[in-house]
Amino acid sequence: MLTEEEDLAILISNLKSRKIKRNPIKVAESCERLTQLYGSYVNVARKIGLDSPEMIREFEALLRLPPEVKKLYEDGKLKSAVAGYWISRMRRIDEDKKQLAEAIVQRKLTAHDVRDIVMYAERMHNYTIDKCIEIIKESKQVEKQYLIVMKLPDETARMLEREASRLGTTPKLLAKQIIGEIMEQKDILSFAVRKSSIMIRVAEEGFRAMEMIAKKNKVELEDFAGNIIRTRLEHEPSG
Amino acid sequence: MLKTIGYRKIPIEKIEIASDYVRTRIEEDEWLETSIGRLGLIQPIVVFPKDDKYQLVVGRRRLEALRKQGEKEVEARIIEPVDSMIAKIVSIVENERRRSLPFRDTVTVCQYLYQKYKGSIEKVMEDLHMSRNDVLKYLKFVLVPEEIVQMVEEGKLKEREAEASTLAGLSETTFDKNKAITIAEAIAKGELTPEQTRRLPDISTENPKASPSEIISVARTRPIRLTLVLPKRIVEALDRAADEYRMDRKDMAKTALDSWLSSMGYY
Repeated sequence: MLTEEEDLAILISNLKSRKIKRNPIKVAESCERLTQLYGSYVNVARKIGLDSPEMIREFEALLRLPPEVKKLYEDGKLKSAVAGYWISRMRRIDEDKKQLAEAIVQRKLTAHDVRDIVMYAERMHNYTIDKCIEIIKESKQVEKQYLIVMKLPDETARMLEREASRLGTTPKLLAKQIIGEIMEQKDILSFAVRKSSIMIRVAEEGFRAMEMIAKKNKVELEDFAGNIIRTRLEHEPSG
Repeated sequence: MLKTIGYRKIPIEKIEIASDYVRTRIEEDEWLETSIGRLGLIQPIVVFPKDDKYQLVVGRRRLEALRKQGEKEVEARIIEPVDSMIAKIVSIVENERRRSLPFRDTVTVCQYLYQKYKGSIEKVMEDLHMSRNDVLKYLKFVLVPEEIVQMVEEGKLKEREAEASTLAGLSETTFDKNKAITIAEAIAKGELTPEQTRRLPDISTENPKASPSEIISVARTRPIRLTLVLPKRIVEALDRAADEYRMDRKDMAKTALDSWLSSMGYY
């Protein structure tokens, strides 16, 4: 059993500095002892100089977690006190709480993910925790696209124009065709040729592929399109 | 300032709870019951005399725990009578082991103090022991329709969901109450995840004429995050401009893009 001073020292060094160095369950135990001693969360918060008693309340909630979840904290597998606070708020059976805590470790869920899963699981009582996790993870997916602005040197732009005119097409279509010879057309979402630049919008796979080709050819990404077009028109003229 | 008349034991049966007492729902609280059973009452409850009885100001959960344990009397701090608004403020601040308090009361008290202190958020924070973000969160609720407040009180909707659905009904100049309510109902039915709910205000701002079902449908679509990859000369120019306008590079890029698109007539 720690003394009042030791409990205070733990709270000041872990909560006031907002750097949780100690096992969250141990911090929670100090919160509980001091709350009993001082009578309220507000009094504990005042004593250690916190603006609001919320953090004390959140920590103390960890003590209401099922033993299996507490064990994950004690083994150092679970670190986020906020995640535990959200699990403690979930009005579900202990098995569900345990399942969510294990998913935090295995699937690297963030405290924000856990908050969203708990909020959703509270509403969708008939869904399993696994289903709630899947739905929340899916709803957080973002489609990544890249708009790459590349240089089109004057000389290359003139070559492109001449060749396009010779083939009876436009510089844009010809440039797109040349780039399309080394990249998957499906990855190129949009393409534009301006006076001194080429803009290509690609999906993530396309961007990674482009980076790889540029690296292999030892060119900067901003020179990628100009370089390919010039090389192609110089060495392998169409028609 | 609350004026104390005295401290003494009073009969539990003589304590009345005002109909507008802030803690309107009492949940099972094993921790408090065990603690009171083990240690006794650490802090007295707060009441004021009313007719030949007492009206409770602070300590409803403690009172219920004692009543459950068959106690007949309780140690009380007796204060001079206060009006219901002051009682609410005291209750919010002093409620020991504070759990989330009823939404409507917290909004009302925040608004009341904000007006009383002529717009000083700092003073509201001090009075209620709340963080700045919490005070601002509650002040936003001036617009929330009664129907949505009720959904929050019935536990069908979280406060932040009430906020998102209200903002989704708000355009620059008008507030479409029905749109907000329809969206709130969809959230309550589980049609949107918390992440999708957070997107609602932005979607609504970008599509002010969209119907509730269109807004919900966009919120459920996977969003696109577009990364701009620029040549060094443009990045350097952006940095020079950002320096001159005292903005960071990202904000400068957004401003430049916005200004170019608008000058070219794209919107």
